[in-house]
Amino acid sequence: MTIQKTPIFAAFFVGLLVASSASAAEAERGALENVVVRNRLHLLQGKFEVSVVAGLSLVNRLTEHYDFNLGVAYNLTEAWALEARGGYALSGQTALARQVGSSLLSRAPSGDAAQAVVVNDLSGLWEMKANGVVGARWAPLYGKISLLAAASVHYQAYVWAGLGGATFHRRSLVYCRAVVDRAAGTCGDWLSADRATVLGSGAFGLRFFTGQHGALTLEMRNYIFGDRFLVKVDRSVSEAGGTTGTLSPRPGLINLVLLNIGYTVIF
Amino acid sequence: MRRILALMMLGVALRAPAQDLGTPVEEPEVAMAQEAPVAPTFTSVADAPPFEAERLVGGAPLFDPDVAVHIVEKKQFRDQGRLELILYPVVAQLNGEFSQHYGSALSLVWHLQENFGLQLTPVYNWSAQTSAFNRELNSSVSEEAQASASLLIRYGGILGVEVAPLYGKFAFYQGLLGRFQVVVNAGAGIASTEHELKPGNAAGVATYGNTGARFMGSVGAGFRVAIADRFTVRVEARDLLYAARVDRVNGCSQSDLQALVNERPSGNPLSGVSVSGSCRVSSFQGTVKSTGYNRESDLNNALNLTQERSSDVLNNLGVYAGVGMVF
Repeated sequence: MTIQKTPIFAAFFVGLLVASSASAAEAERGALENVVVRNRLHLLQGKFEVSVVAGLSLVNRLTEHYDFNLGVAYNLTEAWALEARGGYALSGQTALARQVGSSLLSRAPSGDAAQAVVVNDLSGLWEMKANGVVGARWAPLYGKISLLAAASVHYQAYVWAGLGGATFHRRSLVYCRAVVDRAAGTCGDWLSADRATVLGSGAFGLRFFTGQHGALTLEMRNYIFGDRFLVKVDRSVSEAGGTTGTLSPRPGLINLVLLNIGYTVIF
Repeated sequence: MRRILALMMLGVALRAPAQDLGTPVEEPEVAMAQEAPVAPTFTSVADAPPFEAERLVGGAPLFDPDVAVHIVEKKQFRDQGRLELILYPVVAQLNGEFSQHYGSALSLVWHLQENFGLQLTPVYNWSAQTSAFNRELNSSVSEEAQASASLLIRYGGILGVEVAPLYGKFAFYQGLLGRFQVVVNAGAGIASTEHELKPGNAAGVATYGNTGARFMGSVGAGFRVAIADRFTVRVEARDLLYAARVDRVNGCSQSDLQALVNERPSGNPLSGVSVSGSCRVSSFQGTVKSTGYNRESDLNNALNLTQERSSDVLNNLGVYAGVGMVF
């Protein structure tokens, strides 16, 4: 094959072309069909799906999430589908977040040894609760995989993109309105807030078909939504029960990355 | 019975071109698909619906609705006995909580068997610094991670094994064929570590102290896509595990650093302080040219590092994307 004589750098640039030529070579050897993966056992066009999905957040800095979703999808073609998903996330602050809040609270903001009097609240503290998204799924890759010499498993690889909304809860780590125990860093009333807002979602994953009517799904999903928090919080004012702080002018975005596993019923 | 005979003939027919190639390792697998839908029976040829492009290949009636033949060719190209050199231009840490690494890596795999090989992987992180999250903790609430939790890897090497238990292929729509393996690897090695002594801020760039070599373990998994018989594309996730403990900074032990800190107020040259032979006192002397930052100011932070005893094991989970050549 001439490709074996091709310089390395050139071969990498024409990688896709090489792969195409591989399929052509296979056809020349007596292909059974003019497709590269023959005899697809799982045809999806025109079929509905119902999915149950559970996931957990992968990077838990200040919050952690366990998300449970139910999804309904319709396959427009073999590769394209529309899907709606909704569910609820069990979420809360991490031990690190509680430690940060407690440590800060143990330092008095007033008196002779006043420390950290004016502080900024931390970003990325919103905890997702109820959530729902609608999006499109594109699954251009269909394949087979074999475990050593064992039977093959058919699968699809897909990407997903969509929009939706969710409710969120947030508890401050700096805005304490009732100090219970200064030395222990215990607060009786952290400033909390709830809101509902739009979010975007993107995902990629694999669906392993377990039969004509089912598939096991593994996916990485990102929810992205706007942050909102206070800066210039005067702790001496907040601990006295007053109002302090201003909204951050550039709060940025929060990325919540989940590893999901689920099962889909196809009918 | 005729269909069984036809399938046997199909197997023979497929074997012949495979041997012509000279490289395939295992014979094609021909299997009756259990999931195939049961076809209706017809009383005569005239009753049967017209099949599109029904052909006989090696005696097998393809597109016959009650025969679903699928083939998973085990391997198209031989790996056994060959070397594979992989360049990972970008290695990015995924779980950057208190540290954030970006680097590059090389890997040399000696495929002892089709599904098993020895692997040597040197890694160099051209960007290793405390994370934005850690900086936010510091700037917003004057908190930061325990110093040892943000120990950085500058470079290292891992010797290990790679196993490829899964082999598969995929089609992009109907036209582009890809063949891949799922690879799992594990190994152990050494990493050169360092720690930020002064964060980069308006007063100048960040300064770092060398904290010595650490034993490092590695586990990972990913995909290896074959392009022709010579090239591969890989996407892997690897977790580097290493001890967080800091015993020395720039070769200086806790007692060395304490002696240097004690001497500093006197204004005498630090080079006159009696320290252990490995202690590089010169790394704490002089100034940073661009900012005039006095390196002696790093001494207190270095001493704090050695005073914080930690038994934590740090995880550096990174994504490795690269291209390889088999020869």
